Amino acid sequence: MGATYTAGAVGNQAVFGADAGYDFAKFVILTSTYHNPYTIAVAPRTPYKSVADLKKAGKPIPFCNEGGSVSLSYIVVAAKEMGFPYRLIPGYPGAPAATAGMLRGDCEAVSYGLEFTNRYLKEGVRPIAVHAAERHELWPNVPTSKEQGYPLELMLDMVFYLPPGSSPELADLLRDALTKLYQNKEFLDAIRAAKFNPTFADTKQTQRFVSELTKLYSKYAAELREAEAKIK
Amino acid sequence: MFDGISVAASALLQPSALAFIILGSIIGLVAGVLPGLGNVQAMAMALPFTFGMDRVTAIYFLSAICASATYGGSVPAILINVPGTPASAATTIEGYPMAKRGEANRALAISATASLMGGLVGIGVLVVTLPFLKWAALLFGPPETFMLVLLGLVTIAYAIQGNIIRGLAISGIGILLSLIGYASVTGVYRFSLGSKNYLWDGIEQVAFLTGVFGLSEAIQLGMKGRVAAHAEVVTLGGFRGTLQGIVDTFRYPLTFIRSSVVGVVVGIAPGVGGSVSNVVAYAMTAQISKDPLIGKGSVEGLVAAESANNATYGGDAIPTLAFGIPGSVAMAVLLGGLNLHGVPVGPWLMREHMEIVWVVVFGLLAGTAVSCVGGLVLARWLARITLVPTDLLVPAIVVLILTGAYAIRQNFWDVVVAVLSGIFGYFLTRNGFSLLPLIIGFLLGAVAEQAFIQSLHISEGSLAIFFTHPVSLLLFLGVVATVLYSVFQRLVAKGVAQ
Repeated sequence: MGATYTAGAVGNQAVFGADAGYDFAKFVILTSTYHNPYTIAVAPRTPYKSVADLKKAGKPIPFCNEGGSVSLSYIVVAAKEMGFPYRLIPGYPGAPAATAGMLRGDCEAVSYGLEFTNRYLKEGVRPIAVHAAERHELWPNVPTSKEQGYPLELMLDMVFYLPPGSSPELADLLRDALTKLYQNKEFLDAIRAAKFNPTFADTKQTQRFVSELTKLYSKYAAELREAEAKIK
Repeated sequence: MFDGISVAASALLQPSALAFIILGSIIGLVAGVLPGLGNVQAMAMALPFTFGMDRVTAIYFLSAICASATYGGSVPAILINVPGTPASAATTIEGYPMAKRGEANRALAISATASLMGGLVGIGVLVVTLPFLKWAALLFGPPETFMLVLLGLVTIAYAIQGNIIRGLAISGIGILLSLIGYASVTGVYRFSLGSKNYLWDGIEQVAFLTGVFGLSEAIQLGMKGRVAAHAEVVTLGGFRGTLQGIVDTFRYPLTFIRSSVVGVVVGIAPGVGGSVSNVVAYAMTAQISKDPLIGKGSVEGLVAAESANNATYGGDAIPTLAFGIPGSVAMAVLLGGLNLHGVPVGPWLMREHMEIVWVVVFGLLAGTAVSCVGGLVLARWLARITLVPTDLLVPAIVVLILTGAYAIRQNFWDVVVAVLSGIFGYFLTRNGFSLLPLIIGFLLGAVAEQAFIQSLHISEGSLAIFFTHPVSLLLFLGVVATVLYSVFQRLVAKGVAQ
């Protein structure tokens, strides 16, 4: 059996240490896909137009999220780096439910991947920052966090990996299969039809992503533990 | 919109689509009948087989599986007191006593007819609300969900006529059992007895339900040593029983409409599905009904339970199609199927692929119709299970339950839970306790807790949130009205007695 949700797995280990029950460094990395920058988006009737507005709000900004997810982690990291106060509203079973919660008025902001958030713009969701080095082609008018003075690059990378001790032959077989799959035109067209951008990174690039993610989570482990404790 | 209807309807008339709808309905029906399997497992297993299909046929296939399992789950609930899926928990309360009276055929026909009619209402509401779907999907937030659950809990506490304290005590045990393990909002683990594995996920629902209902009944049957229904007391056999069951369903139009509405509303609320609507609608009917047979094989109670759980699909589909928020786990698998076939989910679905929305609607409708009509046709033969001698039936029930409990997660501890729940259920029944409050507490406890904590997070600790949201306030007034009505009823009864 393999898995894909790396950010959650790496973050869990950084926050809970040995209590997480696994050592992610021992997993066998294959390849990765869905390299998507995270964003901050706000509800239609809120006054916020930029990160600076969040800082000027004079109150903690309520964010809807799952509670213990990648979204929570990136809210905590962004809030710490950008210096805005925040409040977590946990318990939404996934990004669509949290976004609907924001549109209903349960909170004022959400933080999810750009491609996902893009689906809800016509419903009134307003993105105010993209945590990437450059502006995204889908949102040419939305400034990056870097442009607003905070050089944050927070990505959602879906990594294919195998359990510790998996045979190198099996790993190589799957790496080849995944590489061929991401070159198959029919497969790529089907992904595009579902409104996803089919990105692909080989094993070496993916190991670099995982290493950067591990460093990021280690840096903010104390803040993440504090955020988890506040929810409890 | 009309273009979408015509595309979906013309695809429905293609032989391949029709064949896969029938196949999907049969798969769903069989999965529903077997404890431990349901529409979620059947859809997940069928998903890889849709790779080679065109996307419309694949979505018809998956929708048909999704809609047909609930009726399937009611068949063992009625015949052997084992709910095939959690959505048939309340069905056992009225269906099985009818089967024991020799009216299994009639009960199966009521179940099929009420399921079909409930499904039609649910899908009808979905169709009518299509233009307002986004608004409807945003209707239920945490405070509204909490009040809905509170209404269900209060209703059942008073529905156990003459024994409120016992009812509350047992539902309290159910709530406590539901709180074992991981709390989804706070991430806290509680009552897990130090277990770092099994109890972290809480008590497995299907293992608990099949144990409490099915295994406890198997113990009773084994001790009594007779058939579930004696041949000499089979009162409505053959086609006459089926016909009577169909007619019975239409004798309670208000019950049917009320329960279907409950089913739809529960479906819209995120995270709660047929297992909740089935018990909430039944509890409401048990409180209001004047039928002396309530709890002992009431037709009205069975109509309520069966129309609600099937109407839930229409409600489930509202947030699923409007916002990409799966209204249930089965809808999450369906969304996975849409993505797999290159259909973008979320608000884009209704903007750009209205024909797919109609394919889902027609697929759910067709799956419900095929399974329920099939159920009506087969009822007279299925009913014969109740005439099987105990020494054959009891081992078969035990094997079915224990295999089903193990099949869910291939975890031996689920088998242990089923056995312990069976012994507990037997103890309760033998001492005159109703199992319904236990089940309602178990199914609703964790949902109520999550919605309550989430609401307080939103309001920064203020309880005013439950009274300032219009739908939540309306549901709260329903809670107050239920309490006042019950008190009034009791005062009147006391006055008459004096």
